[in-house]
Amino acid sequence: MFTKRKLAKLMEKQDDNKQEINYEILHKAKEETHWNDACEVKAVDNRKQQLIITATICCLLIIISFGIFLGITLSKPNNPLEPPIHYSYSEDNIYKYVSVEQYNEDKNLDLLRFKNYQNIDEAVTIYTDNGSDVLLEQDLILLDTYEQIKLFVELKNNYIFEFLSNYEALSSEIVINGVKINYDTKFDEEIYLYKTFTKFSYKNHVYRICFDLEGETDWQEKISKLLA
Amino acid sequence: MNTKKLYVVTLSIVAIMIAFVMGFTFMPLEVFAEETGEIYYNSELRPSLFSARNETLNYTRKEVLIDTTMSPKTPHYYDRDTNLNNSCAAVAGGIVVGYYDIQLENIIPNYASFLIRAGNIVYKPVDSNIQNIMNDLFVRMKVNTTGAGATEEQFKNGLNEYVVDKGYNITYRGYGQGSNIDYNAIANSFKNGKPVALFITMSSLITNLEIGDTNLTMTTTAYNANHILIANGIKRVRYYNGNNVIRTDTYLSVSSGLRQFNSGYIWLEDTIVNDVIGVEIY
Repeated sequence: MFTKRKLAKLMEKQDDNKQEINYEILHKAKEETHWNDACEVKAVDNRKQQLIITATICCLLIIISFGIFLGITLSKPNNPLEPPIHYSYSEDNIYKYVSVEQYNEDKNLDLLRFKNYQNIDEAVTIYTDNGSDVLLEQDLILLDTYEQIKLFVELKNNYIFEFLSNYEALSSEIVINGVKINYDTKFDEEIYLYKTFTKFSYKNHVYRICFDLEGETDWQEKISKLLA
Repeated sequence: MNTKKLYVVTLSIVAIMIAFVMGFTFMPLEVFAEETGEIYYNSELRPSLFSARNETLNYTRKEVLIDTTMSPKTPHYYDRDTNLNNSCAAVAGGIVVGYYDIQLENIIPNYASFLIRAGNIVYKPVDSNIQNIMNDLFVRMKVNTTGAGATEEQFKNGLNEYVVDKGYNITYRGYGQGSNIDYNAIANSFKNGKPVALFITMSSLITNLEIGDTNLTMTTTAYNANHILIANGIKRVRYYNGNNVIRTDTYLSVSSGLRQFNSGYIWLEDTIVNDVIGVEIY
């Protein structure tokens, strides 16, 4: 181990070795060897390299972001880009349910339904596709007059129910209780009743209702009660 | 033959036998039934999309050979409860019973299948009374007991049993099969108020038929099945281009028994007709 004295002597000796830099000679040498030009080229090269690396990283980030965006969008169940599904009806993909009230309770839903009618014959049918419920039908016969009401509620979007084609392209429109309703009425000479097809959207569900009633506009009161 | 070859031959025979037995085990009932010569009438084998199709025909003139429709027509019943699989025989039987209830008071005890509205006879929709009759016929016709659906004989026997049980009689009259059909006899049956049962292998039902002066438009919906329907009217029309006959079509107006399109027309020339029988209950 050095003593303090020995260390001080050594430092003194090192200081003696120091010489002042002669900048004039240095500048001259730099000019003769084109040192500055060489340094400038090198600096430009470095900037280009940095730019290319940055651009590559940005491109990669954009591609990855786009991929993630596509992945999230396409994996959504009700993607608007998906073509609509034509509902394939058969005896095997429908089943009976006790009532719409019970269905609402079991599935935690709040579907509109015709209720508080006296002396009726009611049938509730659920239409399924691959095990999931896609359409609900409430079929009501008013036994005093043998008038009939059929209510269809879409339980899933993006389905085409071809057997409900009568409810498309309805020519008239009315607003009842703030809900826009498309409808068509004609007199059915086979049952001697006015047949009205109606269609409207309410709280994320599409409703289609067919009324076979004695009065031409009786359906409006029934829809008003339904929406109340 | 050496032992090795013998083993190979024996194993091959055993494998073929196993495949044969397995094939029969998993063969659908209706296929087996058809191979044994009986046709079972049931629901659609290949569920369709109910895809609507329009067919048009242009002609210079037409000749209406037959145009007869029952009045009143037959009711348009279907299995409202959705509990009956392969139910077309029972539904067709229910349609016949519902129709004859207009004339025969006790064919449906303590119930009328119709009401008078604006002076006209109108059928009530399928309520629980009508559903119960179809459920009853489903059992009497032994649907799904010997095959998927019911045969023509099972339909006839089941309906006969019901009618006799209610104190009436039934007569079936054959009007032909395949391309050998007596159209005039069918028309006469309708004139006399007797509906006709069709036993057919169908691929489509006409949901809208418009026969204009120079243009025919048919909207059809696909339905592939061996099916029983009740007919209540017939139209036979010959289409001409100048003096040349383009074709002659026969359309039977039917109560289809289907839940969604419960009435329409059957185009006979586009259908395999296994049997046509007139049904009279008295």
